[in-house]
Amino acid sequence: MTESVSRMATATLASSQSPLDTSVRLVTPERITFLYPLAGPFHRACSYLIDFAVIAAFLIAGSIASVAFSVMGEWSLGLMFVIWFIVYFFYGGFCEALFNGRTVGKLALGLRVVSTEGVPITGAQAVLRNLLWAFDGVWPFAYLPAIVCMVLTKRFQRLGDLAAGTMVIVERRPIGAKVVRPDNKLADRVLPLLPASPPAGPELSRALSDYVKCRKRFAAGRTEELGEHLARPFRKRYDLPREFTADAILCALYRRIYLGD
Amino acid sequence: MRVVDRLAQREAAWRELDQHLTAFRSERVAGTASERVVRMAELYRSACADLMLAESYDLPRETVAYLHDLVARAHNRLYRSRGFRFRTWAAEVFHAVPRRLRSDPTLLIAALVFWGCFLVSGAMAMSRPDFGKDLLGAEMIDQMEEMYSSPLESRDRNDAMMAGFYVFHNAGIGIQCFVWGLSFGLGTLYLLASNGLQLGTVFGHMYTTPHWGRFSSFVTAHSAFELTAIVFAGAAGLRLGWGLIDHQGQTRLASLQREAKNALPTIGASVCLFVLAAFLEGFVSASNLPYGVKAGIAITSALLLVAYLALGGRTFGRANATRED
Repeated sequence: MTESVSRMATATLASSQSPLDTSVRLVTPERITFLYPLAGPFHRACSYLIDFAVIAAFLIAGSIASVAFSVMGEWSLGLMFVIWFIVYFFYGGFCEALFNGRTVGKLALGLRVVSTEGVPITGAQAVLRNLLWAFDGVWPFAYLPAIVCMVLTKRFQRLGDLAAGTMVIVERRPIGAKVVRPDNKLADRVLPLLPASPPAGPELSRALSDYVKCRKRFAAGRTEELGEHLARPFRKRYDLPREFTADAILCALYRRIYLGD
Repeated sequence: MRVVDRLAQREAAWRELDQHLTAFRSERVAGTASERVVRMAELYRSACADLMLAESYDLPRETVAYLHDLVARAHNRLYRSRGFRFRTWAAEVFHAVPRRLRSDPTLLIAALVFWGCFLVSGAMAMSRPDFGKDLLGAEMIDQMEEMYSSPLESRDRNDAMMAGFYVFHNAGIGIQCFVWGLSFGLGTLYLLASNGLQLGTVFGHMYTTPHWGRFSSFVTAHSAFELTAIVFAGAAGLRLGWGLIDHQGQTRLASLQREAKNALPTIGASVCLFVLAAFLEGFVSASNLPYGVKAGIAITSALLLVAYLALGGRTFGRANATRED
């Protein structure tokens, strides 16, 4: 019976092992595998708009400054062109090399450029991927090369990213690591009937934690329908009366395993 | 051990790491107290260990997601980009680029396309007076003639502004030349040919006009640097395109990455040449220095370029040693 429970849970794990997801798996020098959420075209378009505004502000400020300085001598107009050149072609490259893969727009949206191996980008990679933006975002095609390329690649890379071997990831600020406490009055009555340490492997534990996380979103009838599959073996095994709903049994199991009630 | 207990035990460490990361706003390690960096690294490693053991600890999925995000953030703070080092870039430009260009057929192709178009259109414009007007349009030719009809000295001069403008405009063309290599080199070839045709036509046409003296006095000084810079940029672009075509047994993507890495220093050298040319163009070409001085500058810069291409990156000590053997 326990076998049937654990086999059921293994099946769910197997299907969720490589999820069809927008994240990328990385191994750090500490031999840790962790997941990076990737930044999609919409995230990146927003950050580009912010960067565009910053570049425009730089260009306008540079122009105003050079016109203001031009009373001192007309050399400052030459300076304006040099500033235009540097800002237009090298703004992104310099920012990403100096601020560890971030421009102003990426900082605002919490994005970061890293190399496809997950290590920080080098200065050359930063300059290269930003120079190639001149092809990706070329006006006559209205950013089509970049968009098409991002849609076609697994890591949402544009041509510049492909050539430089980089990708853009989302860096989230995690909210907290609290364990949820399910509220089910019936579960208090199920708890004394359960053994001190129910035989639950990691798969079953994870299935329980997933269930508890999602149960609030379903109507009562639906939680019964979903939970009954997992609850039935336990109901048989511990001789639990029918009056305990599947939801109550699963909540009680969850509390025993995770919270030690 | 129950999950809550374990969480209670570990959560303080995670929270501390989170606080360190938030306080680490400045994005720079330099200037942070060293004990703090050490403590952060310690906390990071322990969070890594927790993540690794998450499965056997039976941690709920939200906690694992939390740990993934925490470890990712810490990883990005601790492992940083190396930024720019002037020395490595200078070594690339003076050492690696000439060596690569010497053995690179794309330099020859770029030079042939650019100079071929330049010479052919120049000859055509010299032999057929209407050629220039047909190719570039009558207004542009009239404008050019108008520009050089008066002596250089009498022009309203703003050297610095023009130098800046030349940097913006010409180096911009060079970068376009490189970037369009991504279209399997076709865009680069087009840009090289069209620029060669335009310049050649202007040269050829001006030769047939009485303003040739002034025109040549203007273009001589900076021509060596500028015309070489665009050939370098073309070579870099063609290398990029060739990487897409001949993948040498790698995947096409890996091949593109390899050639992009190789071509980047070349475009850096090209931009440097464009900047040099722009300053010569702004401050020397437009000045009323005698033609001899300008020609001297042109010859010197051409010799420098030849020396750069022929000798740059060679290690003479080793070369002598092998000859003695």
